[in-house]
Amino acid sequence: MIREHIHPLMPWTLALTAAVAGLALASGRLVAADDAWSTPPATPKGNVVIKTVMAVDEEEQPQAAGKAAAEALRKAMGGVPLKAVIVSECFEDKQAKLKLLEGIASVLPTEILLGGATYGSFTQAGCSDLDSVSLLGIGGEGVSVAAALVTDLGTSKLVFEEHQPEIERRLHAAGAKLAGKLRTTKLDRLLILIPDAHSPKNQFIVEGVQQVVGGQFPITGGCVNKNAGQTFVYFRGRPYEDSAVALMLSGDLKVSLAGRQAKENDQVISTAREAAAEAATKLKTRPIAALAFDCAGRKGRLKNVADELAAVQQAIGQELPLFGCYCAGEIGPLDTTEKKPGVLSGGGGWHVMFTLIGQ
Amino acid sequence: MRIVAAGALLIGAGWVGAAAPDQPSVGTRYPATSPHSEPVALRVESFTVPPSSQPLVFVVAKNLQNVPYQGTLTIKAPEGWRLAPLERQFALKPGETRRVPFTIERGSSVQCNSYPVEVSATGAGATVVRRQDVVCASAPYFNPTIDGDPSEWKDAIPVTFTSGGRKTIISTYWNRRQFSILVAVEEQELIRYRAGPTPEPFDAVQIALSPPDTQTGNSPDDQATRFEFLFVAAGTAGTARAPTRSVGRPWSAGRCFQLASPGMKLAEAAKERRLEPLQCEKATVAVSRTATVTYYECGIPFSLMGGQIRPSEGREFCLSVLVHDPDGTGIRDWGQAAGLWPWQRNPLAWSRFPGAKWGENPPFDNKLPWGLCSSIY
Repeated sequence: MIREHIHPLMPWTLALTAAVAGLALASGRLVAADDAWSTPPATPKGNVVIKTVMAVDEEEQPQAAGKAAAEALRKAMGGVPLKAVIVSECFEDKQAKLKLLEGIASVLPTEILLGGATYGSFTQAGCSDLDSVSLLGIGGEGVSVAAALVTDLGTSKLVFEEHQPEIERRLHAAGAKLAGKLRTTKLDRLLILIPDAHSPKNQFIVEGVQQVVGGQFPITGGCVNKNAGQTFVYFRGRPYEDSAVALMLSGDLKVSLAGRQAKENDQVISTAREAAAEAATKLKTRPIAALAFDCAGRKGRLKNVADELAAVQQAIGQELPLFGCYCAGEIGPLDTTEKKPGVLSGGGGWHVMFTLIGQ
Repeated sequence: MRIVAAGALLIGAGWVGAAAPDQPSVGTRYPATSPHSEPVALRVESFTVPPSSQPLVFVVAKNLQNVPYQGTLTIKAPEGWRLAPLERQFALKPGETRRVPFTIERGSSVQCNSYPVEVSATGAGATVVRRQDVVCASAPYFNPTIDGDPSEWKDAIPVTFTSGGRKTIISTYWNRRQFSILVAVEEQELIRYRAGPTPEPFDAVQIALSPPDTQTGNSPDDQATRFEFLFVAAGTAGTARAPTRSVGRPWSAGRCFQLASPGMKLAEAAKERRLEPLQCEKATVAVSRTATVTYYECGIPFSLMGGQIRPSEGREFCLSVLVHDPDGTGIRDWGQAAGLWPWQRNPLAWSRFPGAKWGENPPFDNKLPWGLCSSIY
């Protein structure tokens, strides 16, 4: 049985949605190369629609799970064409992952699918781990997106202790290259980074990106699952190893970021609540969506995994679309003594990196 | 002020005669305190994810006095590491044991997987110092073929200890369906198990897996909290039940016996029982041998553990290992090598079986922390 978790307040939409989205893309509105693409500039004061869905595959039918999730997202968008879809999936092997992508792509345009393998996801509807997929859909004329891929990082099989200088050099270069591929606009607001760079390697790719976008630019994201045979990032609906993807959100948006670190049950719960509350306090406008890139290690410390989600809900309520995933390293405001002054985001472990997007 | 360097004393031969005050054995009552005179006993637990992942490190402190203890705990880590806080105040009631966490803010993993640490507690007019070589006891995610070939284990995190001059290396992996373990036993000769009414001594590996936060009971009437398995070499090359491919080295089918499950009475588990009825068909075992090393490679489905140990990244559980080398070193005990206190020997912690050759003293308790991690990379 495929269980779909859809936020109860999400509007259901017309079956025409996918066709509309597909037409928009097919008619040349997407400016694309193999390793980068972008949508037309955002319309000032245009609406922005961000929705999340999650599907749990209880029948070992990843393709059906992907299709179900994609259909649910299409409906949740309420007729608004999708500009980008971030995939967080936790399936066992490459074959299952490819089937999942096929299922998603049977409903949604392949070109706008990006994301990565994670250790599970959470939305307002609950938490999941194995055999689950969560989708974050972004649409509306008020938002524009630009996405890029960088491959052959050359670091996925390097051990930090033995190869730190090489890892640093390669990931600095890769981060800068990735950010350099993104179309830039004056309305750029948030960069979501999804690399194959297990903590503590992730700090270096963030620093590379910051060489281009600056230290104060809001960056969040999470590193993909490092389990053997499961390490993939996705770009244009295809899997890549030893790679990184980035998605820039632009428009009349406001974002607020907060990060907290914890390694024990009670602290994991309380820090999740604190991070969400801090982001909510700092936003100063109406939130339209929340992102939570969370550490799989934190999840492992929870006696009851749902407790962390409940803590987040205490801070942001149960209605705001929430896209959460469990990662192998998190990107956002570090909660450590090594935090660099004047730099907003970094890469670390054991964090929940919480972002609110408002309009 | 006294300075008591407790390091090797606590894990060496000096313990003999002491035993577990918290865990009396069948028919034996142990003294209420350690034979040592220091006010607290200290030890450092294994890391359950690689140190480069910046885990917590737990110092376990036990008040050995009959009065409350108040003190300051500090920990010295390998060079280049940074721990926080630098020190912790702590208080213990008489006889109380507590785990005190420190955060590794900067650490690095090394291939030999051995990290020298020094922990000290100052209080009650004395400074107690303990030095230990701590390991990372953690299983990365991988699905090995159980065929006795150790070459697939290069991405595991080897835990090495030496007993009687012979090395034992424990490596572990996990995936959603199975917990896998490779125990490399340096020994002169492999003595295979042969079923029979009175088996001769044989080589074997005995392991206990327990859910986190469980303890071994104090009374023979208490219930076991462990899943306990015994792996042996049996048969001859080519007669494997499960191994799937030959790797050009001598190997044989192994056998697995399930000795205990949670809920069993400890007295029942501690009683010597015939192995044949305890055969565990669902586990896979292959045993191979080089000139001086025997490899026990074993896969245990998580389904055998009824959901009590969750196969998920970052989860912790308890694992300990006994190696039976009756014609060599005798019993090799991970609990001893991991630095358990002398009084943590506990005859209720392990099952007995015909053909085993036990030492003069019971083995140590089986509740040693172990973790499920993602990758060494």
